Amino acid sequence: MQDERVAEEAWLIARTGAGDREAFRELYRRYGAPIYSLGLRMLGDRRDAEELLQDTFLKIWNHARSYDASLARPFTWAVMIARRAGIDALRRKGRYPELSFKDLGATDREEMAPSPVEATMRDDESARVRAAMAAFPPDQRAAVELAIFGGLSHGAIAQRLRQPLGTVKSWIRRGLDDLKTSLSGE
Amino acid sequence: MDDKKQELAVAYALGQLDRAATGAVETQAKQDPELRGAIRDLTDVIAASVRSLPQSAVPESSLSDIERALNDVPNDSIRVPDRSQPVRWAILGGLAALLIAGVSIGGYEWLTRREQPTVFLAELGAGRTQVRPLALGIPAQSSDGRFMQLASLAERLWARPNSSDARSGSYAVFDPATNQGFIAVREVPELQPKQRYHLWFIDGETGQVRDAGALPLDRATRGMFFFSLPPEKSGKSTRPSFFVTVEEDAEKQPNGSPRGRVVLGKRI
Repeated sequence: MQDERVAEEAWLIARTGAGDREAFRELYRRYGAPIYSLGLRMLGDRRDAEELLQDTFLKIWNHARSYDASLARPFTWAVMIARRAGIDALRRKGRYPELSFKDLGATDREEMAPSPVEATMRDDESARVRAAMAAFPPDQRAAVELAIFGGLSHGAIAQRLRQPLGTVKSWIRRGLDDLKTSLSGE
Repeated sequence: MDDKKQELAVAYALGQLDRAATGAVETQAKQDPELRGAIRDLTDVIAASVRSLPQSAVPESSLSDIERALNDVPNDSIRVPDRSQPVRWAILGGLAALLIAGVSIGGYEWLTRREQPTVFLAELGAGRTQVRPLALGIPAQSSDGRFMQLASLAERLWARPNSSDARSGSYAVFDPATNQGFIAVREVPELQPKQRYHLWFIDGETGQVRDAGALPLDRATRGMFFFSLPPEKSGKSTRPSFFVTVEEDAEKQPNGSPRGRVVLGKRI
């Protein structure tokens, strides 16, 4: 199932690279919400998140031709483009959002019902990621979330959490290892 | 993996490096499978974390804003590359566009028959090519569906380098019905300036060698890429084979025939 999805999305990227707007729209339909949600999480502002969404999809359009399937899965490739755009935006603004380490409140968001395909994917993989994150001690979870969604360096995270740099590095590394283990279903 | 390399992989995956350091890691990763594997694992974890966020509905006008911006962007990728350009995933898009537009290519009728589709796997080693047919499984209803199955097969073989289906590591999978395929190379030597790797197709029945395009490896030593061959009037080949050469003058095209040293597979 996952192999098929990966192949299908690689195909969409290939068609996008050749200028196929329909394929591009399908990628947008699949990746738009997670990338916009990442933007909201990283930048904490709807307008900024929308800019990040647009910036990311323009980059996807322009770089689809150089996508190498051996280096990253399609969604991973898109997320890396979006995260880099988000980190650049944070650096340009010279600020980092205050993360609550909780999901943003429902009143500030329009929750979207996932499509059946997304629901299947999310039910499985996402539930495992959320469970693994929830199992981290609060400080470790904060460090991992600041690294993934806050775009902060290890040093900045250590400063923010008032913890030694070595401790923070170790939390993040172990956290990522645990998330990887949770994804492999071990 | 040593601690320093692991730390580098984490910093790269999290986007904590500046532009110069990012470029340096990417260059190193192209030559270091361990580092590349670690980065791939970490970036998959980050992508899964993003997927696990509560999803917010995207603003309604966003897609039309993006498409308006696209109209202002000169996009050279819209050109369908000719045979002299490197094989890339994107060539496939051009072919797909032709299919979608209803332009038939050689063998298309054969495609649509409800028979079990057969493709070829060519294992490419030093001085040898071993080709065997593989059944794709469920008959595909369309060329797109058939492509998906081929891409899925190529991806599975890539993910399991030591499987019995691709022992040598480098391989090509080829669908004679559509003249499309994937070439996967692992651990080829880094090219010198002005050199490039080139893929060649051999029709085992006629002995004809055909240009399948240059591999866009640049300074990388591995990768998986799409290729397509123009349809032949003589129909589909039932004995395809492949080999890869190093062509010495990257500025010049090999004029349809290989001149360089064979580095993968065997030239019959």
